[in-house]
Amino acid sequence: MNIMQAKIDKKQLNSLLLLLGLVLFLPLVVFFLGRRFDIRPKASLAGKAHFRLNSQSLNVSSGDDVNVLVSLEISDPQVRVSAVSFPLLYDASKLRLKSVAPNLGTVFTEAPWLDDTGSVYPGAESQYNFVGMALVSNKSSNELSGGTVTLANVTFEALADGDAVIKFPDNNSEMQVVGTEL
Amino acid sequence: MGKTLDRKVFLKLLLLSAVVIILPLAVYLALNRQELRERAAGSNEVDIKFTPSSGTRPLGASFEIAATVNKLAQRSISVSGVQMTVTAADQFALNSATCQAPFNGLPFVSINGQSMTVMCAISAGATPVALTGTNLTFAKVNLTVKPEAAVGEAGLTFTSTRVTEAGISGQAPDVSTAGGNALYTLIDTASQVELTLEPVQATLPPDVDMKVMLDAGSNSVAFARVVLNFNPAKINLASEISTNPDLSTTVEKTAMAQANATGRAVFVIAAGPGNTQPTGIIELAGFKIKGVSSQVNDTTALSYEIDDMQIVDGAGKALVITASPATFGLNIGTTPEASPTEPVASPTEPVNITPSPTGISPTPPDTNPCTVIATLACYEQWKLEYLGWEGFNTLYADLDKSGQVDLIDYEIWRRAFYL
Repeated sequence: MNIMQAKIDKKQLNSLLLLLGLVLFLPLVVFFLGRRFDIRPKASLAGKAHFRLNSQSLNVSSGDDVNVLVSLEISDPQVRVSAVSFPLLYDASKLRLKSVAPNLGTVFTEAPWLDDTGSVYPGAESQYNFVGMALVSNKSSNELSGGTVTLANVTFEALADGDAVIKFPDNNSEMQVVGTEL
Repeated sequence: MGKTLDRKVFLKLLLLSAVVIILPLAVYLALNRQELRERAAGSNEVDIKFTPSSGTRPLGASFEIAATVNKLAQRSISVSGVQMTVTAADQFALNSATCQAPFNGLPFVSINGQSMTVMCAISAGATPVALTGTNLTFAKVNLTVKPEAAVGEAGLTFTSTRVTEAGISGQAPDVSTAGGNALYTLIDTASQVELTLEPVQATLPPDVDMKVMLDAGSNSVAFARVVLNFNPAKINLASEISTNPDLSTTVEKTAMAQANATGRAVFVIAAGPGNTQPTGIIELAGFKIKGVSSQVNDTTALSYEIDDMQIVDGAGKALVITASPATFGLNIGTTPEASPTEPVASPTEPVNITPSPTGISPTPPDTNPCTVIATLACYEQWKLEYLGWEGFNTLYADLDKSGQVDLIDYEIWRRAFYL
């Protein structure tokens, strides 16, 4: 048989075409699997919102005021916040709640819930009292704020010497942040 | 059956198959690179961040921050070690980092200029650490704001993180997030000024005279832009804003009617050629405030919008502003007519609620106002159901059918309303 005249029959050709079909199908499967992986993180905002507490005066004397800035940090630049609710717990044996000022204006438009009565926090952390609020931004998505947004200024009066705690509850389910991704 | 192809065609087919095989390989490798990138952040089940992650720091000051981990996932996670590589802004000098117990069993710290790598792990054979939602410090970092640094914002940025989960045979999964960066405001304390409102607390009615006070210290003040925010449904300006005659050039001043329509009042004043630039404690402006809320025992605030304000000294230098708001009690002790019963206190069932925007005691609707979501009536229903107002124990505003009315329902309403 002349090597230049070597032939393959139709059966071999069909096998070859089937093989080619399978090889072409593989990248398509991988491609669509990859797309599914991409979508999953975008659907979840877990870990992208962080509640922060800041105070310029950590060491105060009895009778002094302690100003606490409550803020929310959205770590994803594409995410905008439209509503937030949170309780802030404090040690009532050492601190007296003096004032609560929700950040209403450019970021949030309304505080549907504001509890500044200093009641005992119900549940597992009943050793603390609390102040709580819900803030909403009644705006279109493009007008919503992202990044770090101030939620409220809370002022306490130091009542006695010693260490005092101001904190968010251990149970994150008591805090809620909703928004949208641009 | 005897139909055949010649060798030349066969070789071409083989060449074509080789090309086609390269394509999936290229796709696979491209995807593999994306996966590696995601693995740098782990499975996002344990957050890693600095505490505090913001705040003001004076030039030249040394301070310590904690590097912490806390669990975001619902499942139980025990870890054996945490590592991070962090880049500090040029304004900082990284002094030291120390692993904290129980992550001080196998400590490693490397500081190279503005980059720092910290690896903190428990001792070999030690029990892995079960994480909770509460921040657990694994390292403390000491740094100094360089005295010559420019004022402004400067931060610490995570370039890589790893939180190693323990107890999974044959594996050491990374469960970390990419890390929550820290951003600090560097200030020159000598150029810091404080804005307050007097009185800092008041009860309305009667109307109250408010003063915008500036403690400029030893700085002279040549220019001031001040922005105040308030809820116009609760308080209004009852007079026009009058400004300090020592800053006699009025660049901008919001009229009372406009401020009351928007809830935002701005005034911009500057020293004129004949003015002596004021210093020390200065009354920048004054105006009268009145309550317009009809809610009994209501509260609200008048606050500064620092990000949009500027105070400039005589040398043209922008001073660093700190500010605190004033709070108001509204209609304290007033007996309302046909007052609705307030719901029982609970952090998840809010209390001390604002009234319906119309100021009229709400009456439960006969029909579902959220049949059409994108309506103000549906928003009002959401508020009253969210607040647990008496008679509003319906779930018309439970738009995601979760069995409770919460902020997710608000977001659904907002998106529909602003579509």
